Amino acid sequence: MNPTHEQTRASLILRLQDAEDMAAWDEFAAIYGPVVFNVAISRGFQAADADNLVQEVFMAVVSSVSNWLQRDDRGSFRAWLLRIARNAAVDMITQKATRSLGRDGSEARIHLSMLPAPSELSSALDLEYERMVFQWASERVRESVAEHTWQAFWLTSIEELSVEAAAAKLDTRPGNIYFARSRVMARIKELVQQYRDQQ
Amino acid sequence: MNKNQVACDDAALEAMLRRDQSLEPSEELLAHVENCTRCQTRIGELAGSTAMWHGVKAAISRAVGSDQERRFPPVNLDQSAIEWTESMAKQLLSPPTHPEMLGRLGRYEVERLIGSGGMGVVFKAFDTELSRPVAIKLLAPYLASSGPARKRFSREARAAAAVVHQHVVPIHNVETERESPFIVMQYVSGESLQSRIDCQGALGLCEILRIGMQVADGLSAAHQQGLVHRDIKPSNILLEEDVDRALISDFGLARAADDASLTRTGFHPGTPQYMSPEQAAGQSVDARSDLFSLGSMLYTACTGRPPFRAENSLNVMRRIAESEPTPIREINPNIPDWMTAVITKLMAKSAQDRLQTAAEVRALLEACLSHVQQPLSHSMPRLPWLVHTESLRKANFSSENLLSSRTIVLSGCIIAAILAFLLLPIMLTQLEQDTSNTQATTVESDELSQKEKLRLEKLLSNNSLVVVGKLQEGKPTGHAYAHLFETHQILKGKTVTFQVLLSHKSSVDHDDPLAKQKPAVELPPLKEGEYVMVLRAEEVISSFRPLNPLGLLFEPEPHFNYFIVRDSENHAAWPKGSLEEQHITSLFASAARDESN
Repeated sequence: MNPTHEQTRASLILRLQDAEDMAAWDEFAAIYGPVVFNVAISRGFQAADADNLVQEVFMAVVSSVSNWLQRDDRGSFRAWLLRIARNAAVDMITQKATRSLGRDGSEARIHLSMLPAPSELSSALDLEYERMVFQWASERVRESVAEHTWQAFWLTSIEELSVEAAAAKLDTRPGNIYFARSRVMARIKELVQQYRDQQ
Repeated sequence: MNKNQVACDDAALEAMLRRDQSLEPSEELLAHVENCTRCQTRIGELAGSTAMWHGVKAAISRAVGSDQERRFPPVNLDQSAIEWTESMAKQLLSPPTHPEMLGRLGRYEVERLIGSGGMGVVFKAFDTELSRPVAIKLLAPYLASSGPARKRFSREARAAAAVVHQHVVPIHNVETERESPFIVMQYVSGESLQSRIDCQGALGLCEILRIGMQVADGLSAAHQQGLVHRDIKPSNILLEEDVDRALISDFGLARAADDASLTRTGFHPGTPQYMSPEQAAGQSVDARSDLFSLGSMLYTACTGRPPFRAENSLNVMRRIAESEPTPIREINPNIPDWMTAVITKLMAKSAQDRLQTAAEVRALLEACLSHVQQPLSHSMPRLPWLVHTESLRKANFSSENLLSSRTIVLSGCIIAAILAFLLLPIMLTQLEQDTSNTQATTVESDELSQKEKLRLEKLLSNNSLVVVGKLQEGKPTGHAYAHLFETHQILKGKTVTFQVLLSHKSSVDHDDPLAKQKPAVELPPLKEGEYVMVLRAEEVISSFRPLNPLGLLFEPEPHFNYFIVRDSENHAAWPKGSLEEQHITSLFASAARDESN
């Protein structure tokens, strides 16, 4: 990532003593960055602008970390991150989309069509976040399980092969497919649950 | 169930799902699960809810289909053919006369390799006799060695050369006597639709419509001569630089490739992603096959990815024949429903369910384009299958939806507005009544009334305006968009600044330090869903009354000069000089000052 992110990281490390919180931050940035990016793109942002927006959202989040640290009743860092980032993203996407509204008619039309309703935007962010958590969890699990276990899951649930067809393809018995695919799902659920509990 | 097997045991199933992966299911358990449908379902349930399975599948499928293709790369079918390099291509040419050239083909000095595919290679070259740049397509040697392929190549190339049309790449010459036959075409400087999609992703609606219309136009000309393209796809559409012109290239060439490669290896050299179902099934094709491919191409332009994808050509062809692509709006919600309906119509599995001629497609896309560019003067074409999707859209309420449906509703309304103007004297009394009764005039929740439109139009037609909207978190914010959009439509071509101040209180968490930042301007508190439109205009004529039976007196009407407040059901206007008005305008003035600082 670029220097801004490195600085961000350094300043955070100074402030966040808890290694778990640090890991939460990294994980969160990996998940929420694409969330903001994708939502911005779906609102008609150019890729470069969406990248900037992601940076700005995280800068805004970082600038309020101290507020969180000063609070006595601070809850989970991850839950707090999500809340702050969502609000920052809603603000910034709406500001960006409206800041330069219309010097002439045609431009105004383009921007108007981009104007997101805050509530709709907020739920779009949440939906995208949920998907991204699923995606992130799936990737972690894929890295951690044996290839044939992952394939059993992939072939049956993503490619929608029958259990028998998948068993034939992987040269194993159907019983193993039933177990393997569900094992993958159970791991994904475990990871996803960490996020669900804290929202 | 077989009594000899172990009984159903959830605990045993659950144990298998625990973290410890070294634990393998016993022979008995495996056998039991293979025969017990209850346990087959149960184990999935224990692992995760149905919603969970669906959610993960959707998230992964989407990842596969979008930015993460690097991680799950689909086979690039175009590249599965030989990747040509300049040095390989050079072997097909005679030595160049200039050292900076790559080689020579007859009277053509070949400058460089500009493309390659399963069919052969494309060079940029210079015609030394006619002193003009040309593009030369050289048939790949493996195709050139096949007698029937050569014959067909020359026959089809000659037929294609006979198509003279502004949206078909002109063919200057066909050379078939050489070892490797080649075609000399006009050199089009620009990029292919494929490379534009590769670098921009989904294109804008107008651009899609324009390209679609032009391609349909070119196809129509070729179809009239009995020529079917057979390989319409984004990489065969060239977009001329600086000019808004799309040109179809490679007419008839797919056929030559089919003959040779299918008989030799059973392998299709090109991408089958844009094939029609009848083509994929190896049946005979007619012009309507090209229309299916055109539909697939438009789908790709709308979404940034081809409609049918799979890990190999055979599966792609199976999907073309059997499955429906992911709905466009799931990938790109900015595409209006009528556009997806047009594409769906083109991509009907059965040729007789499609539009029947390229000329029809062209006319339809042209009408759509006029409508998008000038919704006031061009109404959306009405076709039975378009009306159907329109009713579907109403059920699905979102701001984008609303905007797109507005475009359609609006055009109808504008005609009514023009009519209303023609009938003005009759309507005047009614208008007057309306303006005097400013509080709580009911408008239909989904559409402005004609009277409202007329008044808005009048209100907004005189001065340069600043519209300030405050959109609040709440349910019917779509109305605010509708009104702003309406305003914009009416003000087409006029200088307008829309300042939309957003505050979304209920979405804000008060523990969030960012949320405590004050907005630049505090507007008076509004009810949920309300917004304020402040029109900074001096003397605005907003009502008129008859002067005498022969003429009209336009009388400046102070009541609406400054602002209108609406919510989903009511609109209200405060008279000039009222406390509310003073408050809002002073706030507005300070906002303007802040902005200029």
